[in-house]
Amino acid sequence: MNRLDDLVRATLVDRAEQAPSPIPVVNRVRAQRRQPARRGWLVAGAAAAATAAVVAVGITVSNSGSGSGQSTAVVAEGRTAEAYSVVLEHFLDDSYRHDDDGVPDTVLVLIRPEEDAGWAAGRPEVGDPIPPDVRDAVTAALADLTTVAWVDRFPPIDPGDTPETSDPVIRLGLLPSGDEVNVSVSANHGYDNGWLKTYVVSRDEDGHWRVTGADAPVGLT
Amino acid sequence: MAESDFGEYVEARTGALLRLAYLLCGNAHTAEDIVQDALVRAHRRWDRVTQAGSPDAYVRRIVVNQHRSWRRLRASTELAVEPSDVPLSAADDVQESLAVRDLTWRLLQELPEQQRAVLVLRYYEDLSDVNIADLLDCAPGTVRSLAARAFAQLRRHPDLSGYAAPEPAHTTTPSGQEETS
Repeated sequence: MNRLDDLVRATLVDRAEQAPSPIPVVNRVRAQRRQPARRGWLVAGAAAAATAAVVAVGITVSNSGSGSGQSTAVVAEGRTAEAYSVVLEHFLDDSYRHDDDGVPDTVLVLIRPEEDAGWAAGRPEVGDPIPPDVRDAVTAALADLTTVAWVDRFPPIDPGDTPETSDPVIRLGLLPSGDEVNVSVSANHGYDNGWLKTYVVSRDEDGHWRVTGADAPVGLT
Repeated sequence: MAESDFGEYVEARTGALLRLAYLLCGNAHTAEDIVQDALVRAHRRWDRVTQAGSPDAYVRRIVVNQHRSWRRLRASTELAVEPSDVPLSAADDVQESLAVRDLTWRLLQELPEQQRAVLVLRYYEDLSDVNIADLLDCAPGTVRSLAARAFAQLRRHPDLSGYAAPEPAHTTTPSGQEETS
């Protein structure tokens, strides 16, 4: 005769395989998006166009005799703009896909990224600001999704603030060098809603940046 | 704070914590929320957690407590799950096995939270009753009692009534004597 404890054990082991996976968060989210193709292409296209615009400025500067170093710097700004654009797009999608109202009309993004945005909450904003051209490019890339308002400091949050009465405030992590990097991003929306994620961002064969995964840590408060 | 240690812990143990949370709550999204919340709480006290010597035990305790809080929060809105009335006798062996496990899973979800937690911790996490008692902040005898009640509840279902009673769980008392439930 079979034993009931063996059945319980087998059931639990069997069911544990259906537990969520800690790593492929982004891949799963991408598969569940309502309009992945349209918005994905729009954002990617806008990011590419914005990148091209920034690079074009670089060519102009270079031709004016300012030197290749400045041109290289501007190309780097294009990389930063595209990478931050895809990170923000994924983060907003992850954060608000279950909300009836979707992504808020306006999101506030801190001008200064932190080394690790996930653990930076409450620190004074002391890092180098994201260059204006990069900010403009990111704003343009996300225009289809939301209005990005860049802010210099973390705005005060009152205990009574809720997601219904306030805009989300997003803090970006620094973008390391390399073709596959981790970028953290965190947000506060209202007094007691905060969350953070770390994305793996990679450059594909066409030179475009894509979010290819999520990495620990992720968090929610 | 040793951020790298915490990062390594998260990377190494998040999967196991998610499986535990999922077995406790039965919902993938809630399991993610429970684990994320537990890790955020653990991070705030990581120095103390590591000094205590067993971060896994500490975080596992938070996961169980978070599940209990979540159950209380959701208790008023949860819908009862109807036990399966699909006859199992007509199925072949494989289908019967799947159907019985499906039924068992549903019945496990209907158990009171403490009873279910005891079964998950004893038969999935393979913890001793003493460790479960420590984690649930109760006496080992209470753990055995909760397990016995849980099995009695499961065996009330006609499709599980033919299963033999579980073997007595062995545990070790602080004095080193072995007890059976």
